[in-house]
Amino acid sequence: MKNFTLFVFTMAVVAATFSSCDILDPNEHGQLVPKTVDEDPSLPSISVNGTMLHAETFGNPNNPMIVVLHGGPGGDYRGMLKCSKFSEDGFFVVFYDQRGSGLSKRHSKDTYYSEKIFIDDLDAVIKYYRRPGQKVILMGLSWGAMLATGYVNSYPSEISGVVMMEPGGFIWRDAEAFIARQRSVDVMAENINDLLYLDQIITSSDHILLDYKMGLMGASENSEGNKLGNAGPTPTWRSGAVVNAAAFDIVRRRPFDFTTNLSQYRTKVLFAYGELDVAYGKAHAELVSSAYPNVQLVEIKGCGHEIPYEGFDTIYPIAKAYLDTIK
Amino acid sequence: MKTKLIATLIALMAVSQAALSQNVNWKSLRQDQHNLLQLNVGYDYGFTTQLGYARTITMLRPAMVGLDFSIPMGNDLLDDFKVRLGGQIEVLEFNGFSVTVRIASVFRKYQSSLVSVVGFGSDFAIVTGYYAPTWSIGGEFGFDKAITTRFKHSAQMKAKFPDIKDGWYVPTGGHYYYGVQGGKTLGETLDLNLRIGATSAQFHDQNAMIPYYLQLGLGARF
Repeated sequence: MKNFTLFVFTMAVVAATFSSCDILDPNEHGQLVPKTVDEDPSLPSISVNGTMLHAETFGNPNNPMIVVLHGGPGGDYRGMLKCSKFSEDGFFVVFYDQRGSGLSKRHSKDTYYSEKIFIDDLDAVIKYYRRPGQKVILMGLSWGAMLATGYVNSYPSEISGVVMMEPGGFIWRDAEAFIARQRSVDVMAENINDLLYLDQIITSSDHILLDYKMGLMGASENSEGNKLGNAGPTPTWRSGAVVNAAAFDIVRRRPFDFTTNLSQYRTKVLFAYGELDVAYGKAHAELVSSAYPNVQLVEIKGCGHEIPYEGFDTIYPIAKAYLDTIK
Repeated sequence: MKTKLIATLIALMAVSQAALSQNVNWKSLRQDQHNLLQLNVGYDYGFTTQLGYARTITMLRPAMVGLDFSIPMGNDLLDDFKVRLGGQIEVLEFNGFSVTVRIASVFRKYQSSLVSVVGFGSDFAIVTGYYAPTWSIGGEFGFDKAITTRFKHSAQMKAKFPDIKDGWYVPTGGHYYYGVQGGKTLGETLDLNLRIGATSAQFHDQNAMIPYYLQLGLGARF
């Protein structure tokens, strides 16, 4: 009798709890993550190379163009918006969320056949905005800097300058080593829970829940004691979980090498790394940057991996001086 | 719609009221031993420590009810944890070969700088193996479902996405799990247990980052 009473009481509590709440569908658009450009026509976008990209520009379209490339794959450009300041210095600054990232249109995993699709998309973006004779400079963070180099490796004569901030590596072996150091963890640490414990609560094959979960898991990158030297969270809109997973699948099947043609690129490039990123460090910066024949290597003091956000005030004058030599 | 969901949830949790999560060697349980206390460590979506208690109940077949509480490692001990309340019953036995059905209600909590999560779910498994008085070995196959989960987002998350909706989301996830388990008695009252296996996300969902589990435990019968 006592057991039955307890059972009924428990069920009553459960019923009261849920009857007072709205039950939400996790696959409904716009509830857990923002809508993408194909779901929300009010967002600025361009249609290129069979996709729809969240994109915006700053400055005079006739000025030398800087194309800003975010990290990931699967990040977005929200944390790089301080770079729009270069539009005040006589540059036309173009931002876009890469395919399947940020607020750009999502695609199925089998869309990503090789890293070439990212290079092709970048080529399409450049062609979309470029005016005849206009100089183009690529400015990338992390994976974005790797993408920039992949583009330069394919089209060295098209690019007038490159600003790179902590590219993981231009050969998969080097990038893999950086990722391994970045992810080396104390298994007893709290941020491990942030990363792993969520897996039992959220599973999905849908972009919405996968992107939401990736965004939550990303909190561990900025938690106390993180190896990247990040002081805290960087503004983002939405993670691209599928493109991130696809990119790693691609590289495991066929490791990339973006250096095969780099010796032809004699233009000076600016290569920056953060003082506080212990996973990166000077040795890795020297190793990775050595693929370019002409490099200006700088350490950004007091900053970790997120140089365009946390270290912008420091890198801005350095980058401006470099960019002015290209104008 | 909401009424049907509430009714389904209550039914699932009602079914789960009579099951348990501890490893049990029915053959090693003496007539005067009605209680089982277990301490387990291992990997269960995190490096975890688990404490469980179960008690035998009188039914047509050997059965136990109980609960266990597990926490992952970390500085903040109670921001993440899991509680399972349920039981298990040996439905078939023949010359030491045994089939046990195990069902549990699951309550989970997860907290980070971005979100506070609580969730209800259920865990159903079948364990089959050979059980001798001093040792056992078997295999298990189960399904762990996160049925309904409340997400309450922090100010930091809402600054990132102001329109994000707090609330109860149904459903949010599930994993199949399968593995082997074994045990060895130590003296009259202690058992050493080991469970090891793999997980697979439901349907075509993306698998867990580390799709394996491991549990090493010490049990006391009294």
